[in-house]
Amino acid sequence: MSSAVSDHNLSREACESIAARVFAFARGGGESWVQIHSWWNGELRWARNHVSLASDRRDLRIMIYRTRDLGFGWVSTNQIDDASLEAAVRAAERNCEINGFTRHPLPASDRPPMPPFQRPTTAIWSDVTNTTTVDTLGALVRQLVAPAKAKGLLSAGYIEMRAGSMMQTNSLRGGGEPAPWDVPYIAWTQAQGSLTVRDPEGTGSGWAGLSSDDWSRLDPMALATRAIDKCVASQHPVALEPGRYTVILEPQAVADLWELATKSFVRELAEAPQDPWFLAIDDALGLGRSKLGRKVVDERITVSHDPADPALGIVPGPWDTPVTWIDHGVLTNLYYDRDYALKKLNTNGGVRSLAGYRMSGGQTSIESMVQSTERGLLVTRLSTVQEVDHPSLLMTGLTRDGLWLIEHGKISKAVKNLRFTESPLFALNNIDALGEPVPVFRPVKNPYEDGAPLTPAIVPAIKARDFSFTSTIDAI
Amino acid sequence: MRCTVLLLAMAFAPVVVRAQVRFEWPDTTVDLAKYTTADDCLALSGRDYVHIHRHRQMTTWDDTLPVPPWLELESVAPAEAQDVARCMARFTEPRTDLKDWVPLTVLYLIANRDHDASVVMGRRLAEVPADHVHERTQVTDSIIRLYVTARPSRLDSAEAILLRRAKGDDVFHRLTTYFWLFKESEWHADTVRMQRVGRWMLSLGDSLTPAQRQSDAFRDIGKIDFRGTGVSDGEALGGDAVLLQAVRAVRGWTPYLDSLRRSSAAFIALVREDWRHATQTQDVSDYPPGHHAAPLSADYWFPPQSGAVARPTPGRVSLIVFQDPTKCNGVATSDADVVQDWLCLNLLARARRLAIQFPQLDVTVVTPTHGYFMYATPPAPAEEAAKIREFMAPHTVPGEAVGVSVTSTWRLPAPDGRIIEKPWANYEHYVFGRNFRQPTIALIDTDGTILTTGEFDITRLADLIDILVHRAGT
Repeated sequence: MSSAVSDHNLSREACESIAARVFAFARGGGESWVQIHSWWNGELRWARNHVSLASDRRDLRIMIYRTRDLGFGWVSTNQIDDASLEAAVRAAERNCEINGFTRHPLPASDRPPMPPFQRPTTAIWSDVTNTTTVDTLGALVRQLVAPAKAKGLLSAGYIEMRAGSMMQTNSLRGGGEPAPWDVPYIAWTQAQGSLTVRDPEGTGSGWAGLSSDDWSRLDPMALATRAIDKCVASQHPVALEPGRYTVILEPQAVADLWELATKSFVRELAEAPQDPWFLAIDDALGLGRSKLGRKVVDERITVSHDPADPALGIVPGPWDTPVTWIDHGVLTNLYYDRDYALKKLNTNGGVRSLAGYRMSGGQTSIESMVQSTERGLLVTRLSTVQEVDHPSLLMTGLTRDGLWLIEHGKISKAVKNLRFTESPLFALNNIDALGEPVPVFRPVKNPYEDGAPLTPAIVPAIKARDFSFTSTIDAI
Repeated sequence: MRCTVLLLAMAFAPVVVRAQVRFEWPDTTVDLAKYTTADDCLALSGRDYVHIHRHRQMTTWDDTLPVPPWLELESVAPAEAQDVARCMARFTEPRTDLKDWVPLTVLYLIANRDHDASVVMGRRLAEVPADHVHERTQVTDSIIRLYVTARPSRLDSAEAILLRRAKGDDVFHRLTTYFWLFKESEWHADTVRMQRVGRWMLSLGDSLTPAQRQSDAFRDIGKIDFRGTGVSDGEALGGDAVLLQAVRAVRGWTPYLDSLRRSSAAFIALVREDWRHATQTQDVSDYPPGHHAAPLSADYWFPPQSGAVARPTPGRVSLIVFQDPTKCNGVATSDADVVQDWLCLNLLARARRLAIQFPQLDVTVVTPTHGYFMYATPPAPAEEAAKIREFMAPHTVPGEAVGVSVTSTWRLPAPDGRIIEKPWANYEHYVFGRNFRQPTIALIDTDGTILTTGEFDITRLADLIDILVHRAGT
């Protein structure tokens, strides 16, 4: 990590200084917590072959928590001068007075000691991402737009660079071991590019996109070429009757279909009815059993995360050990936190959530998949995917930016978009072939909400049987 | 010339920068003229209510005493009533839209416009054809509910409507509606009404067939979201428990005290008679009073010498408090755990008050280990027992003995791996049948006979203990 961190974000030293000043301003004993976020977002957007927005934004947020006697209060500010910080601490203490009980009836100093706790430092950092400026991107976008313009097509898209840092610490453990909920200083970067190319008549649309912590891993010109090719190939689509089709889901489509399912990998929920991973109530023991240990998808599918995997990186979080959620089709792990670990397992650690993952694949290329398909559909990506039925993970959504009919081993024609209504579990149990896993587009969301970006998803293309499409869509 | 003057004026005039508009704080003054719908007025009422109660919470500490009945009996705060009256000035009966009849009723009652409330409810009822008995009953129940939950409750009006309610509908539904009024009367300390409604409940209960008593509908009675009673949609008291409350209300508290003054046997005979009446069964094996109190066991006693004598101690009036601080503190993070916290702290606080009032009382607090405590690394049993004791120290009951039992566990096979706790003997010995799964206290007489395992009311417990200790003294 270079000194450039300080250009966009608060450095470790700055965060520690803020925390120390907050703790020093506290009056009346008790406990103080401080959570410090800073972030930068450099962005360039274009539409109809013209740049429409260039921005360079940065902000920070200091959240100050005070517990005193039995009260609890907090405030947030983005001012870090002494006077502002002291005013914020006083405000937190006033909230403390009026907010009544905390759920810690013991005086803080009498609490049991923190267990030893280690956190890895983040590897999601790229100096290239952090130093790429909007000026550089402006020149690049001209190159991306030019080929589309030359072919009479319309290009739209955005390229975005983000960097952020976060630290959370507590006055009682200033220099000691961090608590499980403390976050030692972390910094991260995220680069993403997404572009859509359409013909002026609105009959064809192509898309390509990718995200990574490292901008140098993205090849924007290749993305532009791919979007143009897809646009040209998808022009003048024909309507196709909905029904069950063999599908070749490109990696992005697989990730889109699987994305909502990743949120469901929660062990505590899986032990109660109406969850996709719930098995049954054990009447003898009076508790719910999950499908842990049961085969849930095709045995060629493994979904895992290894912090040592350079393609995945590490999302700052409490449990960064390698984890396999699905091992050769068998459900082997679900997310749980330390509370669950202590209460239900008498252990002192949890399993990370499925925020970033690698899905195992095979060697079959998309071209080979097409050649082996008598009749089917090639899907670029899916959009507006929503859950219809949680226990079965039944989803619905639309194909988008390129859908083609395959006949007798060849792409025969572009097809109008279709609505699908299908469960990823069904698709992953009907696999004919798997491609090589590759990174896909997984954009970062609001850093205030997430605290840190999603880690990459590495996903294969999948050829699956009997995928259900339920209606045609006029939109391209 | 005029043109030259204009150009000169423009050249020397001060430059006016119009690129920025100065920020102006929005006008946040409440303008009731903008509140045009019943929903607007209801929102206004809600905001007033929250702010007024918030102020009370900030300035008044409720301590561990039971919530005083006057809190529910008090009228709407004048500020709220005044705001609502102003907001509701635009609504007059019988010209309002009936789709808003529920919020309108609520608001009329807050604004003390009871006549308008009865008009709008009457219009709603008149909409339903006379031969649509079920629908009329549903609307009637809604009206009763609105009167019962009004601030302050209009129990007279609710009862008057209840008496006119159709009698031919579902018996469980009717019992449930009676129970609403019964509990609200209890909440208002309206004993006479409780007894009256309790008799209606018992008449219905006595008419139930054995098959009806075995039904799910009977077991689901008591699934009502009463304000502050802790009865929520998720947990039904069950018909037996509901009717037992009615039996006790009808009898009144004095006969129990009189019988206990005479003897424990007389007291137990009385409460068993109530149980038989409520459940229509002769079998009392499920009913805790009258059973011999099993000796308590523990692996760690605090102070250590307190384990040297049998507990409950023969010859002494004993109060057993079943505590589980590990479950109600520490790693708990849900709202449900906050409720548990409240219960845990209050049990110890109540026991302390009783121990101070009756120094002769033998108080034993028993608790199990679980293999974890707060956010510490899973501790060894002795360490966990010490942490539990440490946690309970600020709530020490004078003269108490604290017994901590190590819970035996086994682990589900991998990949599940969950810890399954074996039953806690102290707890199991005081559980009798499906109706009494969660004893939190047990009152034992000097002969070692259980008198109650379910009485939480500190005043009533004090009444019983007072008689027991004086009886033992004589």
